[in-house]
Amino acid sequence: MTGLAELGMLAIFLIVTLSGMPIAFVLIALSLLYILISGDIPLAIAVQRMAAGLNSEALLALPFFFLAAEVMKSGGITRKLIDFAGALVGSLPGGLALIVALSSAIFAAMTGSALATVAAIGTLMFPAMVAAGYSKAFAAAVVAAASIMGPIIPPSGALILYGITGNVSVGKLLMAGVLPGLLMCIGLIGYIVLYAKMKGLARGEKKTFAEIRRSFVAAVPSLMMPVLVLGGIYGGIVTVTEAAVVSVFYALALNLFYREFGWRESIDILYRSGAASAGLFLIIAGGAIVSWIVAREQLPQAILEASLTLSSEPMVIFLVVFGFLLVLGCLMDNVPAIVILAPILSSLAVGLGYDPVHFGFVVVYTLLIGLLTPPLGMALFVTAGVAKIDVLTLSRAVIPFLLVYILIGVALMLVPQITLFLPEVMHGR
Amino acid sequence: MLSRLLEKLSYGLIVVAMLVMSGLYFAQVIFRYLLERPLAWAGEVSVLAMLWLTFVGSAVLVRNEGFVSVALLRPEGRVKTLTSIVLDVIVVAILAVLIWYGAVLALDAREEVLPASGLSRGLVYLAIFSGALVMLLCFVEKIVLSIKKLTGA
Repeated sequence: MTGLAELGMLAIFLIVTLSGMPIAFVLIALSLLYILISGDIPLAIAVQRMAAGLNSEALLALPFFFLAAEVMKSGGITRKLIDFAGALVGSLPGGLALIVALSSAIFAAMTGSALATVAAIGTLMFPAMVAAGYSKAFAAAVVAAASIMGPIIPPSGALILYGITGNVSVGKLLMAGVLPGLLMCIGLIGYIVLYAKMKGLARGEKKTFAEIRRSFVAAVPSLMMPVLVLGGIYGGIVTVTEAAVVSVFYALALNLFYREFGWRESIDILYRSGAASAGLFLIIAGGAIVSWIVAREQLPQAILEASLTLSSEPMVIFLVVFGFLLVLGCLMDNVPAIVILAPILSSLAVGLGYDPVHFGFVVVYTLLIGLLTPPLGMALFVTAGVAKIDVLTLSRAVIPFLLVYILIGVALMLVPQITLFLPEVMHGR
Repeated sequence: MLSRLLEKLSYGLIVVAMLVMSGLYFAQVIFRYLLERPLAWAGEVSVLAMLWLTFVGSAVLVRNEGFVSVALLRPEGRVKTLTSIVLDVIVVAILAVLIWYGAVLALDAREEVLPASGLSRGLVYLAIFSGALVMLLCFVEKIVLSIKKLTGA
């Protein structure tokens, strides 16, 4: 094929993609076209790769964690977490915003999704913050920024996806997220306290030790969830998929106990998490054909060689990748980005001499920051919907939080120990 | 309306598949750790349910526009309708390929069995065939509706 024909094809695909063709079909179309042009590959391979790409028990963890998140975000469990976080940090400057940061972090340790975190914490806490005199933009920015911890603190849909498609240990990737997640929570709290002191935001009343203890005891059944899930994975007792399904039934048991919902709503929850999984898996199926082609064309090696001509210093290349992913994260949802890039980037990591868990975690972290940036940041859209404010106003208010996260991203890149400490301790067992 | 019926079908399939997946997998955990008698087939059947969920379940995303996309160009009015017709026609062509090869592979593999459950491997490709067929019908209806809108009928 001439270079011109390739460029023309690429341009057509770009236009089709940007006009809104579902990513799953863009991936399948791209692969079918490649197969047709190559001439010597049977088209049936495409269908075989799609089926093979989904033939994995590890993938089952995703619908299970979605389901658990849907079950947990309805009421009881979340409210007890918020009460507990309130007893701890409510009396500090900007107390309500701090409650959002802390309870989002805890909720993140029970679910793996930013949007579920917005829905659970944001819908309850946003009205409370506005009632206490916070500006709508700041209150919404706190909710959106805190929700990003959802897919970083394990369990995490994005990390599971990267592990499966990039062939990196899912358990280690999940453990890698614990300390960076804590760092994000600390960063958020630091910025909120600073902002609250400047603007003179209201504090809540100080709780007595007995009150803190009471709220803790009430939250214990909910707090057991992350202990169960992370402990199970960390200790190597259960697989990630097993931990995920146990978390579904644990959340169900809690809701039965709190008498949260009936049959009608249970079916709705099954449907919502199932439909979300179907869309996700269709992308994975399409991505499976693309990654087969990528391997066949030895693209990772070509990219590695090309990048080594750019610089012989791996850190420079890592920085370039970081910058590229920051931009890509703005333009593209993280799921297709991970499905397409994980196979390429995880072999690039090995080629450059980086630990694939460290490199992979930073990749996912960077793409997730894109949830907070226009034009396609889903966390912005969902939060703007909850808060009923303009997306542009919200994206301006989110900028300081973004800067905090980008700084943390650079730190994660430069200091591999932050991500690798826990996975290595776990591995040593 | 055919597509309403198909949508109900895929709605039902999603709910059933989620129940089967989580129920069986949870049972497997119980059997492995508490009863120490692993149910090897449960994982295999859960994965099969996941395949059916993916392909047939995705049909519900057609009408409520639930697919993930990167729509940075946002045309308005007639251009928007025209664009969506062009894109949907491309998708229909893709789905036709999946239907054809899904059927071919399902027939080829119908005698092979999955190792743990003994079910036919043809069921794997039958999921792609059926799902692509249901999605194709939904997309065709969407195209017809768009054309009606364009011609003002």
